[in-house]
Amino acid sequence: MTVDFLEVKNLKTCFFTRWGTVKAVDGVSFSLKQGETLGLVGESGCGKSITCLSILRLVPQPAGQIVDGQILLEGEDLRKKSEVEMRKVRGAKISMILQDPMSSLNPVFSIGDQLTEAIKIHRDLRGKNMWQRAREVLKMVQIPSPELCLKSWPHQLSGGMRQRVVGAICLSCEPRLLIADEPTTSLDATIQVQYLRLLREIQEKAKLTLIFVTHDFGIVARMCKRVAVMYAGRIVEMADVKKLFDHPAHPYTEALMKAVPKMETKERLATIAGQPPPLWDLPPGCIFAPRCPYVKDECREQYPPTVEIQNGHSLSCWKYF
Amino acid sequence: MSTFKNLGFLGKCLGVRSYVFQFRFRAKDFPIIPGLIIFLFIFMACFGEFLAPYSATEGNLQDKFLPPFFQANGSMTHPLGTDMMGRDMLSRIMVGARPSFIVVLTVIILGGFGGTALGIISGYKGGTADVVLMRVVDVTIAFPIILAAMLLSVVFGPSIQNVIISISVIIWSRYARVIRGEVLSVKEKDFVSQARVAGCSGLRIMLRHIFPNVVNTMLVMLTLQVGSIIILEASLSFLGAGIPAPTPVWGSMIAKGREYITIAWWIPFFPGFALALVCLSFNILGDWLREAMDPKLRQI
Amino acid sequence: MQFIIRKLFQSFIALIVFSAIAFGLLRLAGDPAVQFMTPDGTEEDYQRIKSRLGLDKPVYIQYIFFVANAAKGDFGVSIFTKRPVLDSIKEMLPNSVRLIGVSAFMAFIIGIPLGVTAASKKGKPIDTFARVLAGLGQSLPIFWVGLMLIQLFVINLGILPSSGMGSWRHYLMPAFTLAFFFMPGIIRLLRSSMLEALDSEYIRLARIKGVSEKIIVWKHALRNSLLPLLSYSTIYIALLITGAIVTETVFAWPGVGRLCYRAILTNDFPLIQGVVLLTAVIVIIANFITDILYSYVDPRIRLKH
Repeated sequence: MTVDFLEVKNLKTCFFTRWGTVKAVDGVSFSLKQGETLGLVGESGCGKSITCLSILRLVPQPAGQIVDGQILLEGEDLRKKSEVEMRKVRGAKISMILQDPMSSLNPVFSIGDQLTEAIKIHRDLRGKNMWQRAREVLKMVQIPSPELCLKSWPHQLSGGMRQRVVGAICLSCEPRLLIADEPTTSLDATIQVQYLRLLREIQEKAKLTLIFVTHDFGIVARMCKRVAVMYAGRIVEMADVKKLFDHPAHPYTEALMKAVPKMETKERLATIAGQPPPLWDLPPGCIFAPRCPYVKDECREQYPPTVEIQNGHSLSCWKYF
Repeated sequence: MSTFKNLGFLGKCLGVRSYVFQFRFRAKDFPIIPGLIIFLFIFMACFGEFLAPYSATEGNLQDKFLPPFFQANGSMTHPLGTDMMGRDMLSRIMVGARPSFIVVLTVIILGGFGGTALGIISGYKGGTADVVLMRVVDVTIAFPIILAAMLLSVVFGPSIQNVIISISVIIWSRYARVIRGEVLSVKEKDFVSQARVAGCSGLRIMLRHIFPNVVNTMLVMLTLQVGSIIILEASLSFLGAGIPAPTPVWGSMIAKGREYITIAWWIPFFPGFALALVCLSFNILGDWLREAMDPKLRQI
Repeated sequence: MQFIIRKLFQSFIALIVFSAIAFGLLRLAGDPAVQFMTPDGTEEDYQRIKSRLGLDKPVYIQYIFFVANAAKGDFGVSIFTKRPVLDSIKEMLPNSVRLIGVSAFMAFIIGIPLGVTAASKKGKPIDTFARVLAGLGQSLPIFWVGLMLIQLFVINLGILPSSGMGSWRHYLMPAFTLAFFFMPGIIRLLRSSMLEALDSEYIRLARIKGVSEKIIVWKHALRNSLLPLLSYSTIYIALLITGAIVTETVFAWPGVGRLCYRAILTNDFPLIQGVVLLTAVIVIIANFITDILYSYVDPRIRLKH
């Protein structure tokens, strides 16, 4: 049994503010093998993005700190690395596509400058070879005229093009793990489909390990093999995509599925009553208890441990005890 | 804390929504010492004349050049010493707060509020009026205020009105431009469209919907600018183009005291120190206000 | 190209407005004919002087003469020096420029690194130091600072000269005073623009790429933060001029500022008017150049034309 490619064990990230401590990530664990795809799903503010930033150790400081847990990349704990060592990891081993293409590119540098910077740092290529590689990467993300693109400025490109450029920048040094943080949320619907298809192709060809963050189950179904559902800083359920869709076990997942509008039925849109809890003031016990239709007394007292109810399907809920 | 509740009530009376004072919860950070100094400044401006131990304009020539109490030959009868005409420094400083305060207050009303009003109108109405106004702003905003004031003082003779007019005339443009920028983004918001749909007149929209949303920016700008207005007035008085004698003004005290700096360092020192304290307090207050209202206003 | 022409036109309009205001003030300052009268002059003499000065012509003709003279460089004769105003200004201007140049240089050399470091090391001692320095620079009256420096270095320590221009030593106090006055604007603006830049998504992407923190601060963030500095430059020029006038007066520096001070003392209207007009021209030109420069430097604007 080989070492998992990425293993996150009990990750806890907090933000220390003058109004209190915000527990953005409160004990997240999962593992990925090389080439696997994991979808990270949840409402806004559930901690998906912070989890990803924690893996890269790019949590906004000084307020944000990773307070507990291990992040094992091919067996090495990333938390133990120095900043200089982490910089070698970022871009070369792990990379991340950000959500808003309009603001991810520096407006005062050309695309070529921004693209070749990563190549310069990690691949140590200069001159003609560097530009050659840049052009290759742009072709890989299916940009029609790479030469023109290199000379362009960010504001001259459309949203879809920019997001491809961001993809190119992230992939330019052939990382083994790619995190995509809602990369299509800001794009038009038709462009979304194209982009996802592109991402999928690249992932399959390069056998990339992919973590895809989104709030859209449809995208998860298309892009990922496994999915983890997050709520208020924890993973409440994790399973293969098909199993999760067919048999959602956690009450929250169940409610989320019900809330997705379906074309066939004419039922009223189901909603989940209440609001997610404030992350600086989490309720004792199960964090979903205040809104759970199956709530029992023990739910309010203690947080349920994570159990595996089937092969590869795990969740945290007192219902299954 | 209740001061803020009262301010909020007052704000409501003025038609300004009390969310301007929503920073109540940050009141514990309030810079107390600067606040006290400002209060003292305003207090002296109003009542200094009556509280001063001696006359600020007449002195006993026999008592001239007495040093402050902590130096040899000094005493507590004249704690800050006396000047070249035997006048008590402490009294002069106390009374000198008033002209500075009057200038600041009037400039704030004329230049600050006036500039804000013009900015709101210009931003909301748009059109040729807006374009013309902004061109005028472009030119006046970068003109050295001091030269304008000097010009006026040579033409009309130095007076407090000249100082107020020249500072207001240049300073309004700063407000007009910044507030107009804010108005441009506020007027796109939905509640403005709703008000328009409901049939509100332009004036009503500007007063009740737009103004409360830009008043934060205006207040922050005001408190931060008070310091520079005070220094500007003092500089003008120092150069002789500001408020003329016999009114005791901190700036001209320093100017006159310059000649005697070798024998009586305290004559130019203490008025300047008073100026520095007041300005520093206003700046600290302005910074606190900015933080309390909206950390995103950092740019100002 | 259109952009440049439009800006030129605007500048021209501004120039006309300014000259009209100055002309109006000239008339308000008093009847120039009176100044040339001798105590025992008669009504006839008065009319004669008036016609000689062209004052009997309609107002707009007078205005045109005024502008034509100004364009030729004739701003009238200074009451005090009895020489043409332009000559006096030309003589003193280089000194002022030298002072302003040295001070601005000092302010930028200290201010820019301070502002950048204060932002990148926010909350640490260097940040507090920068903010305190900026706060003091904005609060302490510039002339008072100058006087206190004189008190310390000339009277108490006796190591620096108190006035005039001469050796490099003469530059120290005036330049420092002006720089101290001017620096806070730079420090504050740079610090806040840097803070905003460092918070942005593109900096996050640069960090994801693995770029070192030093390059992120000094290349990626700074390049964006220098733009607001450029757009503030006209205000900075006004600040420098204001500060220079006061500084020159305190240190008896033989520049245009000190000329103005003397003009106030002697009620020398033509001189002040000349300086004001010249400053207006400088401001308008500076505005124009800044607009053009900004549109060139910011790629977002440059490539729209």
